[in-house]
Amino acid sequence: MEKTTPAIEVEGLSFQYANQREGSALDDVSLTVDEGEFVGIVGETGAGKTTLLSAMCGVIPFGVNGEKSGEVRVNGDPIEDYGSLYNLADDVSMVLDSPDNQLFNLHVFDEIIWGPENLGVEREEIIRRGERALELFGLEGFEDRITYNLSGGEKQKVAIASIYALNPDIVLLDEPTSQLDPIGSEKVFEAIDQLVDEGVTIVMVEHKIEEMVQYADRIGVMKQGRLKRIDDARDFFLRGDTHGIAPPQVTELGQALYDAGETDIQIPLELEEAIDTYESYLGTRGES
Amino acid sequence: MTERDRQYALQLSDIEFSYTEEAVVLKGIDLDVEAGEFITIIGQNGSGKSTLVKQFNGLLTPDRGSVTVHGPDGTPYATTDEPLKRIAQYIGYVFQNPDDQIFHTSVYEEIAYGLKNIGVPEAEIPTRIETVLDQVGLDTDGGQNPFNLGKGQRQRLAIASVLAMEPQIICVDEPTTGQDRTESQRIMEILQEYNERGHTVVVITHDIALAAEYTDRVIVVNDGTIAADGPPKEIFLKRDHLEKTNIRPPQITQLGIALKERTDRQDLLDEMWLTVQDAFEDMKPNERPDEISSKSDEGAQQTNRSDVKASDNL
Repeated sequence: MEKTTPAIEVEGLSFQYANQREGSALDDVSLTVDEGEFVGIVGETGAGKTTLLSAMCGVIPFGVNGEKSGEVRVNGDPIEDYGSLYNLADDVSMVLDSPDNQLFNLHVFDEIIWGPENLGVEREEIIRRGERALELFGLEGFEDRITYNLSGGEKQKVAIASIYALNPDIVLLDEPTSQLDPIGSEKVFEAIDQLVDEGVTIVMVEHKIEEMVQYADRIGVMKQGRLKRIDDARDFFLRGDTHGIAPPQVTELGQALYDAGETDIQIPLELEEAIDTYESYLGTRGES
Repeated sequence: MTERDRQYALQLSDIEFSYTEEAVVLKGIDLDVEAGEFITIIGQNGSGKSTLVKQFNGLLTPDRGSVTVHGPDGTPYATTDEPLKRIAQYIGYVFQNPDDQIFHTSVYEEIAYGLKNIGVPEAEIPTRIETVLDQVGLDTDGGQNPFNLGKGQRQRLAIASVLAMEPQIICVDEPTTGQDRTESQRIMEILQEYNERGHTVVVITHDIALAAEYTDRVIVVNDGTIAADGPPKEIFLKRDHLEKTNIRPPQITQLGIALKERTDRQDLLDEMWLTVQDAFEDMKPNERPDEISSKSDEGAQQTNRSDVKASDNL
């Protein structure tokens, strides 16, 4: 069987910011992300999640100072070999945690096509990608809206749409739905799912566990700069230590029932399966 | 309680507001907040939630209508007539994006700034800072530069610097952005502590599960108007309404509603589930209807109920 090169390989990576007083932002992190895979990263505030993304997109080493050991390879090449963020931009794109740090064009459509324009993509192709991005992210009608006047969630969608227009192999997202309402964040997850269908590799830092178990292939948890565990998205909550990450509510209920002696229960992860599970649970228990 | 006895924290009357001529953002909002309430404001992106809360402390002033903030002794102040500084003594506001708020180069100075501004004695400042950092669980020596903190930590710093001033009314815009569930719950617990000490708390959030778990009044803002206002259990019953406003009940509430429709255990699902704990109480082995019916001693059952907490088992 043909073995493809992983999209991202992180090997024994440690990093300390130049102005960091103590400890390491990353401490011996190793992780391989296969082409077309969707990996979710969870963990408490300050665990090093954003730093890990920075090391995958080249902000480390090209953008910030610090002490790095270990290696990051993108599509098989050491990240240093790319030489600059500009050269990496063809392969890897990052959606920042705050869209205000990312958006700077006056109008939405200009923002979306700014990336491919800058990479010298042909005009016709730029417009095609821009229009596809509008459609994919439900932004039709927003073309001429002023980016600064959009709500936080709308800005976030524009930020993701403009990354999509770059046509990248790998997309890194740092809490892209943190300011979105439930429907808005569902749309973003659906759109990301479509990117996955198109073969894009996704690494996403996110706290929305209910959506993560539904969409991600694997979930990894970080704590104090270390990747404590990475596992199949379903297994993550059903087996083994979650390192303090709360499961979806329906799963928490199942675990509580299991611990209370209902050891026959099939602990569910998603709402639909939970309804079936607990309906039959009530059914078997309902007859007296 | 008669109208006369009622203590208000905030009163908004017929508020209309627009940023630009092209769109009216708030379309005639009336809202009374009583002293000591713990409220969440929910609504889809762009519905006007943040714009509404920014009217509370005069950060934005309405094009029409009036906003009255009540001081601790009940004295009413109209935000349009009073200097912002006076209003700021009674009402604290934490921005959605901590970077809109944080501008000092050390954690200590960031918190001290507000305290100095409201005239807290110099000698008292270090203790207040230490206390509030501990409260929000920000593990830092005060000398750290806020911009070296992660976003979730900056969020907590922003909250800490407002809490340190002990404002009578605390408004927080999306306090749980960038926090995982455990951390979000911790933040809500801190706000709950302040609420229990008599502070009025208003939280804007998309996290409906937190709204259901911690607050007794949910205000749904839709298209610049208040679409619904009431206890979470009432709000979650209005299905058409929720769909129209992009609101979805917490996963556990949805589960309870679906089960109620699909099974004949109506007795079991009588009360709407707002938390996993609620669900567990109904579903746990010794609470099943077949066993309940065989039990005659209500008191014994009550004892069992308090024995087991879902969260203890996890």
